[in-house]
Amino acid sequence: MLSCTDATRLIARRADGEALDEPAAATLDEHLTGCASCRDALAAQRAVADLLRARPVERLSPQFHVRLAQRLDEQAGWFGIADWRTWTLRLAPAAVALMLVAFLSSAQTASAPISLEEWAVSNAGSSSAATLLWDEDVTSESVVQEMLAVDAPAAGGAPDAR
Amino acid sequence: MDADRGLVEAAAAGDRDAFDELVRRYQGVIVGLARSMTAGSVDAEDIAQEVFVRAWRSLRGFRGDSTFRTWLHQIALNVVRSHYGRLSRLRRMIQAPPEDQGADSDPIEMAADRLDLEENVVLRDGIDRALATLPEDLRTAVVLRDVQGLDYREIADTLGIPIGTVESRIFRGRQRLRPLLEPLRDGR
Repeated sequence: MLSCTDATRLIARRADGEALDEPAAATLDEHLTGCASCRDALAAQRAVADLLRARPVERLSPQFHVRLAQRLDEQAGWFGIADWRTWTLRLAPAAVALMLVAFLSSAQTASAPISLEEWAVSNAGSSSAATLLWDEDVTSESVVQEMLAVDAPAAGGAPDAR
Repeated sequence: MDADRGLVEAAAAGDRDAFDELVRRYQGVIVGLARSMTAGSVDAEDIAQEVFVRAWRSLRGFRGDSTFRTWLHQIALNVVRSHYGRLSRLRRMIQAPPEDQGADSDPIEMAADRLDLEENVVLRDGIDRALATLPEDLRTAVVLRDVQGLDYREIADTLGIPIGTVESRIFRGRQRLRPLLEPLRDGR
């Protein structure tokens, strides 16, 4: 025996014109036969549903598509920035190029190795004091003396050639 | 089988023409949803555009677990919810009455069919105002069924609730609308 509470769900569907399965339809029909309140409810549900379905459709403004197209076009610019897959694809060639440059650079370096001393000498400029640093017997005093000798040529002392 | 499947797949791959076709299919539906859920708000077209922009951005992530129509309605309801609060506050601040849909149209074109337009505006406005009196859960269920035409399964999928709950909400929503809509019904 269907209660009025349980009948409401079936009444909503019946008001839509939706076909209920046979057992549900039979149960509802039996209930409606003996319940005036639910028969009124069904009529009211149909009336409301019919009116809502008759709600006039919106007419879009002429600018709707123009504005939407502009907004979608803007997304095309931001889309690539926001999408990590786009970043990955776009950066992949640059990453490969960088790796290649790094590899070639290291290969070139490996074919013509120079010692750190040679590098220091080639980059020390005119300062012989810098080369003293690679002397095994260097002392801080000898470095200072060398530096003073370079800074005071007018004193007559020529820097010792080492 | 999703009737929009082919277009959705093409649009997800970046085909803008395919997406434009989807927009044409659903623009009226989504604008209608926005208006009926926001009591005829003047921002319904802006809301609808936001829905389509979000759909365009998210389409690559659409897995097809539901129909495109269901997925689009989910986006639309989220946008409406996020905008409606701001719209209500703004309207209270500026005391602006809702404008009718034809405000942007050519005034000469409007004058030519003004009678029909006014009747339609009155009816649509009356329905939208009545819907606005419903709690959000009842209003959403009734709008999706009777205004948008989704079936009960689609509504359940869109809202993530059981079909029985959908039936109950629709019944209760229509029951509350009955006295509010009777004047409109009698006037037709």
